[in-house]
Amino acid sequence: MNYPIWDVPLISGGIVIAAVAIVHVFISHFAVGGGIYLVLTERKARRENDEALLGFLRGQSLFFLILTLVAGALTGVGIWFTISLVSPDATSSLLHVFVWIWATEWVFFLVEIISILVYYYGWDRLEPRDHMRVGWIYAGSAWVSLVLITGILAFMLTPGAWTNTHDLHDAFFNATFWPSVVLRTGVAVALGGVYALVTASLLADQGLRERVIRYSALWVRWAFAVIPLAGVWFLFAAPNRARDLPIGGSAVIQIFLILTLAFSLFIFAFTHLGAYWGARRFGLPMALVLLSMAFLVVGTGEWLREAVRKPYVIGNYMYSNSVRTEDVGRLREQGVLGTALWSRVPAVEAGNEEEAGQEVFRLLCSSCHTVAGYNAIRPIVKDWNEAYIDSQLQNLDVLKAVMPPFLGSDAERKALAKWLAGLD
Amino acid sequence: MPQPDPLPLPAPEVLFRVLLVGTFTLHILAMNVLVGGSVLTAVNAVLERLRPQATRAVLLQRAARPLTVSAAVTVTLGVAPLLFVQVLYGPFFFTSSILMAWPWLSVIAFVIAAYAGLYLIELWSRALGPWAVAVRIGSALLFAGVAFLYVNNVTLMLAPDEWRDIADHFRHGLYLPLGQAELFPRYLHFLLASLAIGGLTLLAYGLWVRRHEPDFGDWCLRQGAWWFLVPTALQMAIGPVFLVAQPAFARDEFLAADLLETGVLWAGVASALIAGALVLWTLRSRAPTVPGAAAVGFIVVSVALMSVARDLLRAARTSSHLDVSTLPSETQVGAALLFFVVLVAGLSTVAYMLWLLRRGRPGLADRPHEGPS
Repeated sequence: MNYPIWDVPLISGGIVIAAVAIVHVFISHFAVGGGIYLVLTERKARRENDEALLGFLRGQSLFFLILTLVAGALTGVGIWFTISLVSPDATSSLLHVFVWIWATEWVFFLVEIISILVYYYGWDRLEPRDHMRVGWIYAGSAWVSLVLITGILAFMLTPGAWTNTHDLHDAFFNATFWPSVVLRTGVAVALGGVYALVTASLLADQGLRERVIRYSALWVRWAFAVIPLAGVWFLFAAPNRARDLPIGGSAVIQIFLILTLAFSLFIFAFTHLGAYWGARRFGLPMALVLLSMAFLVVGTGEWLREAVRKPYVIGNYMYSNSVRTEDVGRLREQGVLGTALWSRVPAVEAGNEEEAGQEVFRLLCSSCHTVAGYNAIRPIVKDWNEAYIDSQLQNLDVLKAVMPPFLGSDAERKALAKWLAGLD
Repeated sequence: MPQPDPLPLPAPEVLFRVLLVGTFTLHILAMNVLVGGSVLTAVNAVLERLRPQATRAVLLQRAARPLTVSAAVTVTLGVAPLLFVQVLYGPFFFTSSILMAWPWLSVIAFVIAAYAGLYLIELWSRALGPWAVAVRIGSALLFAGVAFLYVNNVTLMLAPDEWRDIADHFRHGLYLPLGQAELFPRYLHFLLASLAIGGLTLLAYGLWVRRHEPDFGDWCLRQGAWWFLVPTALQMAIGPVFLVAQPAFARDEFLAADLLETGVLWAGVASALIAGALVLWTLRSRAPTVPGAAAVGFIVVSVALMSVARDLLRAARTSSHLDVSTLPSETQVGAALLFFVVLVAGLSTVAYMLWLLRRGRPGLADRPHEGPS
């Protein structure tokens, strides 16, 4: 309500965030799990005096360096950019609660970047013991980064006592924080294994290739022992509203939950049967199928996490359309057109209903809905008349669990109904 | 003008400002090395194609890794000022970013492409053959473009009076404030500084390396000196244009009306001039290390002072719309302490790792680099 609205036709701003965020999550979790993989595997190689395995790790660390620095770090900055364009009010709230956590995370990020550079450029230069130390510094700082960001993400779903106390401790150590940390750590370790399977499948030395493939498959297997348990823990810690959505509350969200579980099961089975038992035949095409599946599961999983938070962007504090719950009464009374700073229509008047209705849509609905693209409104209201649309709008939150109540005045609701009825 | 966030700042405004200016100074120095270095090596690569020369080929080969490292450092150091500017100047920064949303977002794609180009050069320069020059030029242009987009945003955030009109006419976030009087002088100011500091970095490298390779070191030193001197001379024209392009009330504060503003700006100018004189001395001296190192020191001081001046200018130009120094705050003492403790520990860890790298067997790391295949 406080900032101009960025109109993104057809796909909506939410999809822009998702496009950047899913790529980032996919790489940044690898940046955590891959770091643990590198240093533990280096320890194994050095203990067993395995020069071939060390050679593989050197190649892996270059791939790791380039992917995490070029694409990982920058898509992370990209998330900052996109959330501040699409949800500036929510970004501002999060900053005011968590700026010190973010600043602390930045220090770990700095250590992470320098340590991965020293790790890679140090292969020829450092004593094995020092090289391993740098590897541990990397793995540790990357994991702490994950923990700190997870606290902020989990807060958005379950702000809990913070809503009343406004205390940082309550905000950070919220109900879904620990299950999220365990879940994300599991995903990170699994991705460390999956990426290693891709690079291992390229190795020319047949014996080494099979060895590394079987070894990396074990990483995925162990991660998958943790992930489902953490998932269940997460569901139990989530608020009832969020738990009900994927188990019947919303058909789309339920489908995404099923997809996430199905892809995960596929990855587990494929790693076990394809990579572990069939290491000899496990080549690049199979590794890429696995990588794509992992990407899909990260995508559906993150989509799910965002979806179960609906209708809020910050649970019980701010709705997805940037309206604070504390402002609802004022908006109902004064209307959104007169309150929103960048509204182009000051109020509903005789004769401007359709124009006003369109502006109400832009202010209150366009953060999630487009007219005719992603999550389009036109097909939903296609065969509805104005009176029926108005009755739906009056009971939005009752009829659909993911929707907030209508947050404008009565006149604005009627204007919106009129405009929506005229869409087809 | 958007309202400030109803939640209080989690520490006094002044603390965030100090952190903002401090981290911005580090970011801009790294950015100068990166942008200046990319342009400098791209130009040398073109010259090398036209008239091959052994020293130049060595420079191009050795500059590759420092460039990728400075890109990593620039990005990393850029995150902190982005964080602090958003917490302090959110109502300004969010609004201007939204109005130019797509150009602003394209920054990410440009940096990824330019950065990937630097890695192509570092790892597969030989395999690229003649394309290497194109990749270098591409990266340099993309980085210069990113700097341009940043200047667009920080210019637009200082012009709240125009936002309403822009928001009504540009709904899709496709605006750029190309008509702003200060835009191009501000951009040239940053670009020239980047070239100069890229040159100074080469000069410093020349000083270092001439102990073992006197001819190559002197060649680097001379080339670096000219890359510093010519843009700095041009800066003496562009800087005043940038100042004149400011609104009268803000400009006057830097021209004697306000003692602090005036002092900071002109001390910064004086430091840059002293650095220029020291670079000239370096060129003529038989013992160039002392004046060369002093020139680097004065430029760092100058950049720091200019960063303070930039912050004072922003405060002067925003305060009539929303005075951020009056924002309420409730300090999160524990979290702020955690940050400073972690900062000290983190910087010590970085120092430790760099010490490990330096203590390691020298020479081995300079071996020609091999890709993963």
